[in-house]
Amino acid sequence: MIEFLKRLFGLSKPAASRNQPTGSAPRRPAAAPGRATAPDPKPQGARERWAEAAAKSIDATASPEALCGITEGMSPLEIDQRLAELHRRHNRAATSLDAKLRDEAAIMLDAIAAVKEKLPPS
Amino acid sequence: MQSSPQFVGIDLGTTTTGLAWIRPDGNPEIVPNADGERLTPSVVYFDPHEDVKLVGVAARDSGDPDRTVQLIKRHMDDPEFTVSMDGRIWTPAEISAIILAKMRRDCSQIIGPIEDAVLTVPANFNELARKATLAAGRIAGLNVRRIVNEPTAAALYYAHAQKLRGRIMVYDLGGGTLDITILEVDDHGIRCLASEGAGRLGGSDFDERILELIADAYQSAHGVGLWENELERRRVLQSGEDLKKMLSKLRQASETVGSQRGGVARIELTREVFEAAVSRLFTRTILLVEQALASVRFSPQDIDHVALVGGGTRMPGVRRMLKDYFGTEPKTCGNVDECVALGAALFAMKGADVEEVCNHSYGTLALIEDAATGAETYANTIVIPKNTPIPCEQSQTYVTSEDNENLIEVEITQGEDSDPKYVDIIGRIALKVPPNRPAGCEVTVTYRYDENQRVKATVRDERSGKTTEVAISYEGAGVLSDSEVEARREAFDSLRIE
Repeated sequence: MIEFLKRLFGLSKPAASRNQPTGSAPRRPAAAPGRATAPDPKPQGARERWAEAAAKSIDATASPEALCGITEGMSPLEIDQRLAELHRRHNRAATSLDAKLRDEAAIMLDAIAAVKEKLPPS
Repeated sequence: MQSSPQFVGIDLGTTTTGLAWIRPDGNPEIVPNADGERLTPSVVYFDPHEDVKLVGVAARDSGDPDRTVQLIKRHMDDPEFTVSMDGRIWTPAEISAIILAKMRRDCSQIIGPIEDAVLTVPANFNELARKATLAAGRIAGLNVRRIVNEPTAAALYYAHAQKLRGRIMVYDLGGGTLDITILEVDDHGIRCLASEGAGRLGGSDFDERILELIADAYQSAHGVGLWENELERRRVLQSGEDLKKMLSKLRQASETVGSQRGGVARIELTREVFEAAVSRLFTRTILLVEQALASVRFSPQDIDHVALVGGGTRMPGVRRMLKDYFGTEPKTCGNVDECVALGAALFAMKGADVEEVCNHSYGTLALIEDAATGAETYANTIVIPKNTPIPCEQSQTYVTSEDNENLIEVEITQGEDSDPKYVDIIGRIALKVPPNRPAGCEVTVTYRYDENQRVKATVRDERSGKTTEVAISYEGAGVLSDSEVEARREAFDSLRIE
C-alpha cells in the first residue's frame, strides 16, 4: 500500500494555473542550475505555502538561542538534537549555489556553535 | 630519456599544492617544485610587464594583491565566479590549471614526464567543483585518472605508513576546508563509511581570527588602524599566520608589524588568548565530527583511531579537543600537510582496493501526498542517499500530477534536506510524452553515480516507454564547456608559467 504518493510537476498547463516558482536569476540561462525561488505570494497549494515560508529571511540580530529555536524547558539532549539538525542543514547551505543562503548559513553556524558551547559536555 | 612515472597523485589544496609519486621501491614520496619547495602555495600572480604567470611563494610575495589570485579552490563550485585580468576572463578551472601546470612541468624535470595523475578534492566538493577540477587537470595537460576525496587519500597513507587498521576517523583541517571521514581499514582494502565536510572552515579562518587580535592590539596601542589597503592587510595576514604557527610550538610568541601612520610595534600573544579567540571554530569542528558519527550511528567509542591531516591539526588546541572527545590520543604522521598527496599517489597505485561513498544526496522535487489524510507537502525527495557506496544506481517512482501533461520535468537536486530551500537544483530533464493522458501516470527517475562522483539521470515514462537521459552539466560565466576545455588545453602549452 502506498502511504505517500510522490507527484511530479508537468509543464503543459498554463503558468497562471500552475503557480510554479519563477525561473533562475536573470543572468543564468533557464537550463542552468539554481535554486527554486518564491512565486507570486498567493498561497493556494503546497508549493505556494512552501514558497511563502521560504522567502522569509532570518533575523540576524536575534540571539543564538532564538535563531536556533531553543526554548525554555528543552533538555540538553533535545537542544543537542536540535543543534545537530540545524547544523546538518546550514553546513550544507554554507556551500549553496545561492549567495543569500550562504550568508544566512554563516550566521546560523555561528549561532549553533554559540549555543553548543553552553551545553554541558555529554 | 626518462620514462613517465606510473603513479602520481596531486593534492590541489586551498592554500598549498603538493605532488607525490610512487618510487620504484613502492613507497610514496613528495616531489619538490623547481623552487625547491615541497608544498607550493596555491597562489597565481599575473605579471604586468612580462607575459608570465608566477605560482607559489614568488606569487604570494609579489606585493600586488590586485594581480594575485589565491584561495581559488573556494570558488570552484561557483558557476558565475571569474577573475578578470588585463581584459581576459579566467575561470576557477583555468586558475587551478595554472597551478597544476607548474607542478607538472617542474616535477616532470625530476621524475620524468608526468602524463597521468590522480587529483584530490575535499569530500564535500559538489558536482560542479569536481567537474571544474577535472577540467583544470585536463587544461594543464594531465590525464586525470581519478578524482579521490582527500580524507580517503590520507587514510590510505596512514594505513600504509603506520599500518593503521580498524575504524579510522580522518580529521582533515586544511587551509580552506574541514573534512571528517570515517573508514574501515583492513588488510584487504579501505571502505569509506561516511564523509562530512565544511566548505568554509579551515586554517585560513583561524588566520583571520588572529589577524583581528593583532589589529585590535595595534589599534589599542597606537590609535590607528594597522592597514589601509589590501596589500598591507595581506602582509599582516601573513604575519598572523606565522604567529599562529609559533603558538603551536610556544605558549607565548610575538610578531613585529607596522604601518606608515602608526609605526612599528611588537604584538605579543599567548596561546591561551588565541585559543579563546578561536574556540568557536573548534566547536564548529566538533559539530562536524558529531555529524559524521551520527550518519553511521557510531559513538566516539566506536572509533579505533583518529588520524590528523592538514596543517591546521598542528594547533595543540585541536589535538587536545580531539583527545578529550574520543578519550584517546589522535594519530599524526608528522608531515600532516603532505599526507593527502602521498595518499593520492598510493591511490593511483591501488585504487581498486578503495570503496567510497556518495558525498551528497541526490533527488528531485515533488509533491508528497499522504494517501490517508490527503495532506500535501512540497518537498525534496531523495533518490540516492548520501553515504551510499559508489558506484551506484538507484531509482524512485513518481506519478504525474496533472491531466493531459505532455511534458514531464524533473528537477535534479543535490542536498540532504527535505526542504527544497536548502538543496541545489543542479539540472533539469524534460521528457515529452504522448498527450491526453490522465494524472497518475508512473514516471521512474534513475540516478547513476560513478566513481568520480558524477551524476547521470534518466527519466522513463512507464506508460509510453519513452526515456531520456542527461549527464549533469552547468552553465555560467565561470564554467567551461568540453570544447572550451580542449581549446584552453592547447593554448596552455604556450603559456609561460614559473
